[in-house]
Amino acid sequence: MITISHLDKHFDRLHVLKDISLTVQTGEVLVLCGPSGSGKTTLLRTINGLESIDKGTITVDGKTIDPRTSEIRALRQGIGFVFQQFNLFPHLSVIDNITLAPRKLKGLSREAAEAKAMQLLDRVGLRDKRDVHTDTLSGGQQQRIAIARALAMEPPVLLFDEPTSALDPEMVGEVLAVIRELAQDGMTMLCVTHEMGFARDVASRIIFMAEGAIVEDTTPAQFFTAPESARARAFLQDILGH
Amino acid sequence: MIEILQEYWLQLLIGGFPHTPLGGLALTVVLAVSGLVLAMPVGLLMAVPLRSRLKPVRALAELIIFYIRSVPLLLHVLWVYFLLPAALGVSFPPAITMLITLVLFNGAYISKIVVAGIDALPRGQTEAAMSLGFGRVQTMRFVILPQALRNMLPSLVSQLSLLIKETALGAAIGATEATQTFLDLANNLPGQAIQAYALLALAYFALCYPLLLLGRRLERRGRRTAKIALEPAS
Repeated sequence: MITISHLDKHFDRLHVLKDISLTVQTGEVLVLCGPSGSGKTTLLRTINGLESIDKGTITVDGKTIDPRTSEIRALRQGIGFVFQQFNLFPHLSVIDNITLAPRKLKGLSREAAEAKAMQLLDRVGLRDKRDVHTDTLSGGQQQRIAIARALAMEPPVLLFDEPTSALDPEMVGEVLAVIRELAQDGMTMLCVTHEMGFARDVASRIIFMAEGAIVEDTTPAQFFTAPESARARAFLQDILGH
Repeated sequence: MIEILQEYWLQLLIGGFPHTPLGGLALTVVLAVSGLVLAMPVGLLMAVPLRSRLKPVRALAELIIFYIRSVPLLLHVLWVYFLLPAALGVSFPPAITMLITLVLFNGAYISKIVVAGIDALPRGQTEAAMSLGFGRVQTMRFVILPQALRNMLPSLVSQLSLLIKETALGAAIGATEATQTFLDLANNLPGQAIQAYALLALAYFALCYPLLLLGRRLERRGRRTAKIALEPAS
């Protein structure tokens, strides 16, 4: 589904991604974790071309991701992205946030797009918020709408960039529950997160990164019980407490 | 003041029309309204090269717009008045010359307001639109501009009320709009100049104030409504 090979990227002189290679099969749920500055968010953003790359290749479904080409727009329709800061469109109502892309990009009629959007609102448990202004919603609700917005384009892959990091603690659960359900439905997902309990339950693979490189690529069971690298052990100790 | 109005209302309203080209308050209103209507799209167009991906294009646009903004409007009026006929071989009526100048001059200012309004939006808005598959133009049209224009409203309203007052410079090239008409009248009515000027001030106030109210109303509406009607699926 996704093939990344020998990816390199610099921010000026900072070498943020070092020779990254990674293959993701359909239906896999990858959790990307690691200390801040390890390059996990940058890696995620290269997959839909929000970040350019210096060297290497990324293909999704056999098609090369290159933000400089005009094909990138069509490819992005097939790669859902959920942001840490939600990034809902504040000038649109909830329903218009969800239907904008299907209507303008897929040419769906308003009725068809709204019918689909209502199913998605059901799925994230916010059917009653259909006509509400987005800034009246809580962070957790906004993120669930953002997930519905990404799903409206029916992408085969979803990328999550720290979807719960900007949320108050009591709202983390409702968002993770939605992501967990998507995983159970067989959605292919890559998720950058610090929620280790969630990672242990939901991930089929854990990608542990440090200093721009993939240090471990393993199963949750292996990662949480017997991490191979000293770096991963230190990271887990920091994040899980002693 | 009442006597002045009773005596000269027609002259103040339309100048020497129909024996001369349209003048007076009517010309001011025509210039102001057409200036308002045209300056907005021209300002948006002028903002495009300012946001170009090509650095030379950006630099040139910056330079031109900086030039327009740093030279007094009166000088532009004279330039267009003398240069345009020389360059194109056709001469325009003074009112048209004035309109072209006003639109370009205010367009330059509006382009900077537009760019500032766009740049003030969080980067995440563009990224969210692009991640859904929107291109640059669609992202502008559906996501960025609707938000930016709303944020720009206060600056736009003050720019456009400047435009209304700037129509007065038409006098310099013989477009006898309201100011010129009232000045002429004051000259012909010794001892009543103050009344004539007071009437003129009231006239400009009456033109600008509705714009201010409209701006406030749009702003409130923007804040209140949950829905901006998207046009039917195209």
